[in-house]
Order: sequence, then C-alpha cells, then structure tokens
Amino acid sequence: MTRYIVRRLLLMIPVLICVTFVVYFLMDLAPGDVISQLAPADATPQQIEMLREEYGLNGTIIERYGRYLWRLLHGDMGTSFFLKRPVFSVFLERLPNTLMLAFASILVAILISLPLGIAAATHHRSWLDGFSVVLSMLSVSMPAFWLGLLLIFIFSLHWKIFPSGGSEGLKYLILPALTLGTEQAGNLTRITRSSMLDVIHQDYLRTARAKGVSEKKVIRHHALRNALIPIITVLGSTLGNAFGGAVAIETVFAWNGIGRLTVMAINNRDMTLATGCIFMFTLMLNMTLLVVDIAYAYVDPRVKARYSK
Amino acid sequence: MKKVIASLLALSMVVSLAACGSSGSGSSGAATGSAPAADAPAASGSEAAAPAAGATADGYKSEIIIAMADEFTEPDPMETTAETNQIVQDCTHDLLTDTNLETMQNEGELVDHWEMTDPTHWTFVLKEGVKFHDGTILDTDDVEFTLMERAPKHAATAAYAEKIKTFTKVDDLTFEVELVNGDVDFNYTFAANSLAILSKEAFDSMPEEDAVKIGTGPWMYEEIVPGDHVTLKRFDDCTLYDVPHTEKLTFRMIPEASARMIALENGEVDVIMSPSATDYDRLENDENLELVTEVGRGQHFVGFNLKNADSIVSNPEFRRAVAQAIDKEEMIIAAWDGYAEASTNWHCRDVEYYSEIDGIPYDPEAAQAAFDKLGVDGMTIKLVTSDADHRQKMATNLQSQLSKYGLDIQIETMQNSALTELNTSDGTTSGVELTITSWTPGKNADYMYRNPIYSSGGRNYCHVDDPEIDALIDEGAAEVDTAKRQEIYTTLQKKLVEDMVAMVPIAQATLTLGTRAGVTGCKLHPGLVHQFKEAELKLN
Repeated sequence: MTRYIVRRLLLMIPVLICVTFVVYFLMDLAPGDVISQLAPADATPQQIEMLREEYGLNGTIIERYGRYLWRLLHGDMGTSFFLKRPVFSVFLERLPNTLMLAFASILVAILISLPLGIAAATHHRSWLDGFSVVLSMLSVSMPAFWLGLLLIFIFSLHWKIFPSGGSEGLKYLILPALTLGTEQAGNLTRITRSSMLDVIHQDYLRTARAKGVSEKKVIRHHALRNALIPIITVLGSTLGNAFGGAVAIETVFAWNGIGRLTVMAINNRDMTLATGCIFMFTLMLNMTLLVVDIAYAYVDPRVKARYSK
Repeated sequence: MKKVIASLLALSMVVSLAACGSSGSGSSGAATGSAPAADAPAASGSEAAAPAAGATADGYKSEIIIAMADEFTEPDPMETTAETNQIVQDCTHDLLTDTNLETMQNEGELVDHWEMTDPTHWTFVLKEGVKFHDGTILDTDDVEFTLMERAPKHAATAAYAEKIKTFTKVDDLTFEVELVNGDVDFNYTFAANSLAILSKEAFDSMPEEDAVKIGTGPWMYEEIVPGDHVTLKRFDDCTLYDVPHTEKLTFRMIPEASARMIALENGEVDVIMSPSATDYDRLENDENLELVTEVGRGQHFVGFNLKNADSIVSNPEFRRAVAQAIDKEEMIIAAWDGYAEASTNWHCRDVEYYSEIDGIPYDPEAAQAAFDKLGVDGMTIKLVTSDADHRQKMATNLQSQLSKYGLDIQIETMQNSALTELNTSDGTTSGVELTITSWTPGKNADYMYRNPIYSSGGRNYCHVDDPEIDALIDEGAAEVDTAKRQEIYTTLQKKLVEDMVAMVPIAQATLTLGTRAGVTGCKLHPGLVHQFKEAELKLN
C-alpha cells in the first residue's frame, strides 16, 4: 500500500510540471501584456522596460519559464504582479473559503443525491424514478451561474432570507453551496441510481430477503455498501468539479476564494498568480483522487487485498 | 428510539440553520451590521427589532457600503494606477492640487496657493495645520520626501519626479521647484493620484506597509480583507474637509453587475459602481433608488491606422466618407442605451481649451457619393476592438451602418490589454485598419494629445505622424498666453478631426452610479476616480 502511495505521489511530479508548462505558455501566448496594465498611460519606454525587469518579464519565454520553474522547485511560487504579494500566501489566505464552499457543496450534493438515487432505484420505473431522472438532467444541464442568479433573486431579493453575496459568515455560504451542490447532485444521483440498480437484484440480496432481513436493512447494509465504490469514485471527481465550479460561483456570489482569485489573475494577465493557482488546484485534485483511491481499500476488502499483495 | 434521534437531528438542523441566519449579522458588522433597520434585508433580523442600530446619534447611517466591481489590491498610492485602488486612496490621502468636481478647475488641495515665476520655476505654499492620521503636521519635508525621495523609485510616479530638476524648501510651508523643461500646466502634475502626499515621520517610525496608509484624508484604514472588503473609519481631526456624519466607509468587492444591483435593491449596500445599462430603468423608476449620472471624460472613437499603406484607410477621402457615414446618435443608443453625449471633436468637453468645432457631420448622401467614387462596394475592412460590452456594441453597429454602403466590416475582439498592445505596435505591420477604443485624458489639454496623438506618444493608436501636429502640441504646451493657447488648440482640434480625419470621435459616455435614495456626497469623476469622501445618508 505504501509503495502504491509513493508511486502515485511521484507520478504527480510530471503532471504538475506539465500543468505549469501549459498554463505558463498559454498565458504568454494569449494576446495582451500585463505591463500595459501596470504602467501608467504616459509611461516612457524606459519605464516600461524598468517594470518588465522588476516583474521578471524580460528575456525569452523559455528563460522566463525556466526561472519560474527553478523558483517553484525551491518552493517559491513567485509574487503576484497585481497584488504584489507572494502567490503562496495569497493562495493560503483564500483557500479556507474555497475548501469550505467545496465541502459544503459536496454535502449538499450528497444530501440530495443519495436519498434520491436510492429511492429512484428502489422504486424503479415509478414516478419517483422519473422525477429523479428529470431532476438530475435539469441539474446537469442548468448553467451554475444562472442557477446562482436565480437563487439570489428568490432567496435574497424576493424572500430576503440570505444575503446576495459576500463571504463573511455561514449565512453567506448557503446560497453558493446550494448552487454548486445542486449542480453536482445531478451526476451523483444518476450514479447512485445506476449502482443501486446494479446490485439491487443480486442473488445475495434475494438471499438476505429470504432470510427475513428487513427491506431497510437490506438496502442500507447490503445494497448501499456494495454500490458505494462507483459513488466514491464520482465523489472524488465531484470534489474536483466543485473546485472548478467555484470559479464561476465565487464570482457570482462575491465569495472570496481561489476561484475568484484565478479569474482575476487571468483577466489581469497575472501570470505567476494564475499559474500558481492552477498548479495548486491540480495538486489538490490529485491528492483528492489519491485519497479516494485509498478509501476504496476501506470500502472494498477485495481492493485492500490486492494492494496487500 | 430511532424516531427520537431523528427528531433531535431535525431539531438541531433547524437550530443550526437559524443560527446561520443570524450569525452573519452579528459577527460581520463591517458589512451588514449597520444596515438601516427600516429597510434592511430580513436576514438581519436583529436589526429590525432595534431601529437605532446602524444610525449615528444625529440620525445618519453610521456606515456607508459601496460595492465595487474590482478588487482593492494596494494601499500605497505610488504602487498603482488602477481606479479601484485610487478611489479608496482618494478617501485616505490628499494631493497637492486636485480637480474640483463642481467647477472642473484645478485647485489646491494640500496647497493653499501657487505662483509660476516662469514656465520652469514654480513656488507652492502649503495649507497650514493639516494633520496626518498619525498626528503629525504636514510640512515641506513630507512633500520633499514624497516627490524627491519616494516618487523616483516607483514606475507610476517616476515620470512626474523626472520633471523636477531641483526642489528647494523655503520654509515649513513654502517650497520652490525648478523644472527640467518649461511647463505652463505643471500644477496639473500634482493632481496625479499616485502623487498623494505621504508622511515622512510615519516612514521613519513604522514599517513601510503601515506608513503608506498614513495620509491626510478624512478617512483612515481600519480593516483590509483582501479580495473582500476595505473598511475606513472617519478621521475626526481632518481639517481639509467637513467631517461627514458617516462613521465608517466600506468598499465591498462584488464582481457581477447583476449581483451588485440585487445587493443595492436588497439594502445590503448603499452605492454600486458601474451598474449595467440594462438596470438604469430600474434605478430611475424605483423610488428607493437613484441613478447618479455625469458625462465622462473618456473619448470613444473609431480610429484609422494611418500607417497601414496597404489599406484604403490610408486614403483621407475614404476616412472622411466613413466619418460622414456614421450616425453617432444611432451608435449611442446601441452602445449605451442613449447614455452618452455625441462628440464632434477629439478634445473632451471638460478639458481646457475645448472648441465647439463642427467636426464632420453625418451626411449619408455625401458618404455614398464618396464611396461610389472610391469603388469600395464589397470591400472588406478589418476592425479590432476589445471585449468590453459597449465597444462590441459600437463595433456591430458600425458594421451594420457601413454595410448599407457595401462595406463589409470584419470584427476581431480581444482583451483590452491585447488591443492596446496591437494598436501601439508598428502600424505598418500590425494589420489593423480600423479600431474602436477610447482615450481618457488627464486634466490638462496637453494630456489630450501628448500620448495618443504625438508621433512618439505611447498610446498613438491611429499612428499619427505629422510634424505639423507635433509642433502644434509642443507650442500649445509651452504657450503662456491663454488666448494664443486657445488659438493653437483650436487649430489642432480642427486639423486632427476635420482635415486629417485621423479618427471619428463618437461620444463621451455617461458615467453612472446607483445609490439608495437619499445618499449624498458621491461625486462622479470624469477620469473614473469617483469621490466618496463626503458620502452620507440621512435616515428617516
């Protein structure tokens, strides 16, 4: 097991380097120069050159990327051009907000999708099943930012229950978490339903029923547990989606997290900040997927046994 | 037993939801705690029960919350030229001279009066007894420290500092400057927001990151939460301005225009910057809200790349025909829902030495005749512009207007910095034929021309390269006699727009703010650094 974890961790290194390479080069290739935004309109060419040197933007793209990567390998993610502060500390400052939003949205997604998926599977081809399918399709196809604006309109403007935006307390978290969670719930409901359908007609469940085990117990202890592996797999990627979805949702709800920071960095051509944020996102996502893989072992003894060998 | 547990769980969920609903208002006073009880959102339930909460003793709202689109990133005035930062800094720091937004004249702010001995020698006298937030009194040492010691080290201010050859302290309040080159408008230089005067003593006694926050303005920093909000508290010892009734001023970052509008309607904020044009009607028709408007100083124009010799835009007859073909009023409705004032001149209205010239009036018949003569039917012209909403609307409207004459305009949209880079790159090779962009000048006439029109100007989007134009710009900047200056600038304005037709000035767009009804003291700045120093709201 330890060897597997170490191997996965080592595999992350080339992935992360590739990500920095792609993001750094794409940011450089995109038209627009950060210096033209930082320099005053009446700056002389000498002042522009002075700024370029100050921000380490002189030299060819290869030289600049080389310098960036060298610093990164030494644990220095650089300084944001616009915020003029170390990227890592800016990232850490806003990370708790994004994590809070991501986990809250996962919680919302689980609370919606697990009962709905199970109910749809146990009442296969009933109106409840149809309702769950329609609801999942709706949540998957509805743009999250639109749902966000709709929720603001209903809960904030019309009913005045929650604030429309900000990130200063739990009550500010509810609408963005609900939006992001609803978006994630669609996929999770479909996976829960189909995994449950796969196991619900297995022989061992019939045996359990024949032995007089109550239907609730059959579902909870025998069916759900066996259906959990695909659900956990999707949960891992759902967390990744939640980080991605946070980009739009944080902007709509003025939630002060990494997503909004990344949007600002890209809009302002803040290369070090954008690359740093995406690098950290990738790292977090990889770590999450690793944790999910490890979690398999605890859910499914067969997987654990394979790792043990 | 299970039912009991389930009931307990359900109860705990209800309690935690209720706690969530009230915890924010209790813990986050900076943003919502001071919302007026009368019309605060229901979320601030506790406030509804206590009408006096959030009000000053004399019945004013104790905190004014302003929603901004962009993030406040920098308290140091010399480190930034971004309007969002400068709007906050304008509340905390003062300049030697500034534009009076009522009269649009350059007046002393920290300076009491000044005298130009000749265009290279100026004497300034500071106001007496002006206090910094750290309690020290402003004197010429602070000015010398700001201009001569700190300004040359920062890209945003180095160009201004380079203008000064020598700085001489005459006494605690009087200083003289000798300039490298004569400048009859030098007093305007001190109105640059990045040249806000800093306290020398603060830099001597505290870390730089704290010292840059010390200014003389009516507000001082209380809390900066990066990416979320900045809260300022009133500086009661301010002598430059009447201290407002408001006790706190909070700038909250809400990137989405629609979310800002909802926050305003909801009573979560008192002022919103950059409301969407689609919300103007709601702001005007809702009795609880107001739309504050002011003609902006940004000159929006259709520019021709004069250096593109391969393109028909290098032909002055074609440029004149395009100018005659554009119905500016139609474009204003398309781009700004009518909230803009049509321009006939490149020179902005509120900038000194503006002349009421005719420009090139809309004349579709003359345009058609000229296009027929040039044989442009079916010709394709490339237009570049930025992704800003109004520019895209201007571009598609121009496309539609010129299609009536058989011209096919192909629009290429890019990010604004990319547009600036492309427009200022070598005009002979950039491939640009037409551009839609804007120029927001500083406060004196020279700013109108030095960068965007002078042959070596850093923002010469139309690639104007005419020795006669350059000479007129230089003469205008050096002339002391105001009548002669007026004459020079009038000649320049006519030559540029009517003779050379380097660009077609379209409009100066209206700047807008959305406020709750009754909010006063918010002043729109044509250069976008809006002022909120005196913002207050009398509660009913």
